[in-house]
Amino acid sequence: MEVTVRVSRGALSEIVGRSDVTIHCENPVRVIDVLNILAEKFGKTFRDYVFDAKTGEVKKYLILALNGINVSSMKGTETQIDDRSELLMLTATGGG
Amino acid sequence: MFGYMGKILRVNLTDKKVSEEPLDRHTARKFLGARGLGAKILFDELKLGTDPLGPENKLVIATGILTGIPIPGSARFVVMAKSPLTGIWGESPAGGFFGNELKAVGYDAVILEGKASRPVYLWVNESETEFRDAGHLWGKLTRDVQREIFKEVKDETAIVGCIGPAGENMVKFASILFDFNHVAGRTGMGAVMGSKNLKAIAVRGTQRPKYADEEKLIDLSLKELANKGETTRRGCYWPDALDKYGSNVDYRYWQLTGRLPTQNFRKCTFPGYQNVIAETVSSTILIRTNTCPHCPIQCNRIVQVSHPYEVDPDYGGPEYETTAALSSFCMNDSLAALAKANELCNKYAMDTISTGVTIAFAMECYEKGLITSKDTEGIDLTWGNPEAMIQIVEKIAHRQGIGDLLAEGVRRASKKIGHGAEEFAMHVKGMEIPMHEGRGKKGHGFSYTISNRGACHLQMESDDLFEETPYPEVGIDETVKADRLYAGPEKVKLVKVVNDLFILYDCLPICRWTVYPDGGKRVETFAKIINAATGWNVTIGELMTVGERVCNLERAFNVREGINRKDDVLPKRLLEEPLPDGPYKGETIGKKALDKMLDHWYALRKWDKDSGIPTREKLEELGLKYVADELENIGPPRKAEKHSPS
Repeated sequence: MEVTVRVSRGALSEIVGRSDVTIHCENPVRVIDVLNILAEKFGKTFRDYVFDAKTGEVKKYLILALNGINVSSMKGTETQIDDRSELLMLTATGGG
Repeated sequence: MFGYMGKILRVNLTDKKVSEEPLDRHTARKFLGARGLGAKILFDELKLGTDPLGPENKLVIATGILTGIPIPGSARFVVMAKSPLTGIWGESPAGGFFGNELKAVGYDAVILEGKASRPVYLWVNESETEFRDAGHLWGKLTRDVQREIFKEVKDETAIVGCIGPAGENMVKFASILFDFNHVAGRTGMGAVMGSKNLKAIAVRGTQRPKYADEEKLIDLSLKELANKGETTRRGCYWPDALDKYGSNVDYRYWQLTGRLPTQNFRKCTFPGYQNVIAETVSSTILIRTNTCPHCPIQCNRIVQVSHPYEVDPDYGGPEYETTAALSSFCMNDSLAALAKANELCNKYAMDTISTGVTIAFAMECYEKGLITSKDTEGIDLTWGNPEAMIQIVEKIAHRQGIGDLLAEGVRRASKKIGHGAEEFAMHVKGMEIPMHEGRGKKGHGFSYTISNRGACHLQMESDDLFEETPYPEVGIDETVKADRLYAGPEKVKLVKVVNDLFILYDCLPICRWTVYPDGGKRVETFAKIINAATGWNVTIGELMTVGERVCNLERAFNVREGINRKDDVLPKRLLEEPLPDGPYKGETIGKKALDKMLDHWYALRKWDKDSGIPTREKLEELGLKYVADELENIGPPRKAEKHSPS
């Protein structure tokens, strides 16, 4: 199966080196699995950016949306991903 | 005096008299400039009960030390007066070239008072300040006014600030447009200008301040120009996101976190959001970006549309607040209609936030039968009708039909309509609430109640920004709690520190976009820049005290006009109606929680707990004894019914 991960412009796109990454997996994956695959691929900087070092949880300022829906209204990082889905990683911003 | 031009221009439009007065050194150190200078001038010179649209009101346009110094975000100035929308402190910061040019023609600020007997514009140049006839410009659109003035003064490099038909008609939330699409948007400063028969002010000069240590200033400036922000601080290349998408980069984030102001705050997510998010704008109607002097961020959008509405790129393009106010808030998912409404607001010079909130209010009235198609002269003012939205913008600007009522803002309009309309008029102290959902980030929501100019999103920042990101240099440390849903005493402390910091920013002045990535460390940099410019030795503590001082002075201005604790409120919808869906479904702010937050706020500010009036102790601590004396002379808090500004 194929998952496209799109990252918001900013530090994430700097770490990843581009605005989207396509992952190919043999088996069905959850959101957390995709994040771990990306951490393997992009190393410590990515892992430190995404995961809280103490708790191992995804940091609060990172929003994950699967096919346009915030995963927190589904099963969070345990949400299963369908083939050809798009996972958006979006950083908290502010301003007005 | 280093760092300043050292002069204030005073223009009396009644007598057509022009005078210059020195900027007092002591005042400059205590209040810095821009918002601080304006607060000092207006508190001292306006009397209780001044009619905001009368000749006694004064319009102050003020720069600060940083204006003109070539660092990102410094091209700012602030326009201030007693607001006709709220009847209290009115202030509107803006960017672009005007502030730099005002300094270049020799002035730190200009005070406009009185009323011209017929429409005029001012031409402020290095030879003199001229009063020029503006009868032929009255009624003209902002871009046309600017172009005409360029011809008349024979200088296309002049910088012009002008009002459009909305200001001439004294729409209570009329704005002032500078250099085509930089706007002093909120609190109705355009109406004040219109009330003075002042169509425009054009400036052009070549001077610059003397600086104490020019070499050091240049060195610091070059470092600032090269600084992209401490990117690992929150892992956010904030400037890059703004460059590509403008402030509307926020829109999708608020949608996905269930905090997008929608349908007059009845909802918090919008089905049509994909049509108007920044990514869609970038790939469809955006033709270029624009920026302020010295700033590499390029956050301004320039858009062009040909169908079904023609949108002129000369009037820029919608930013986040405009986008939300004229899309989700009105349930409009037409990007073309949004762009058109933004263009009209700039053509006629009206605040887009107040316009959108007022239209949404009218839509809810229409839905509930409080306004009918007879009142709207056949306009079907149903939610999400883009054509109706555009027609109402026109009617408001020209005070035609129902537009005449809506031009008064939601507080007055709802009082006139009655039948419960006041319950869904979304304002605080008369100013329409901006596009931040306070039920899902309670510090930001609380800040609407305590903002001195009425509901304002710029006196605090989204709680999200401070989660996991301390600013220890200014006191945002482990004793504050930024968690977005937390509403206890440590959150109030966060709001207080940020409020002082943001008021300081408006006194420097500096654009908020350029300060977020580095947080509190930036204040240390500003202290170095100020010291190099002026020869002073300011510290972070002194600068933060300026923020606190100006907050208290503005509050005293408002107290003098009758504001007290009873006015520090939120609409019932935000207090009692829970968010209907999204990750924060069920959240409200709550009256009890708000009261507790206010108790903490007044305690932190050392204001009287029952009245919310700054204590003598606090005012004297800030060097404002004369303010304490004046408030004491006015007497104890007056009852809302008699003295609240209408």
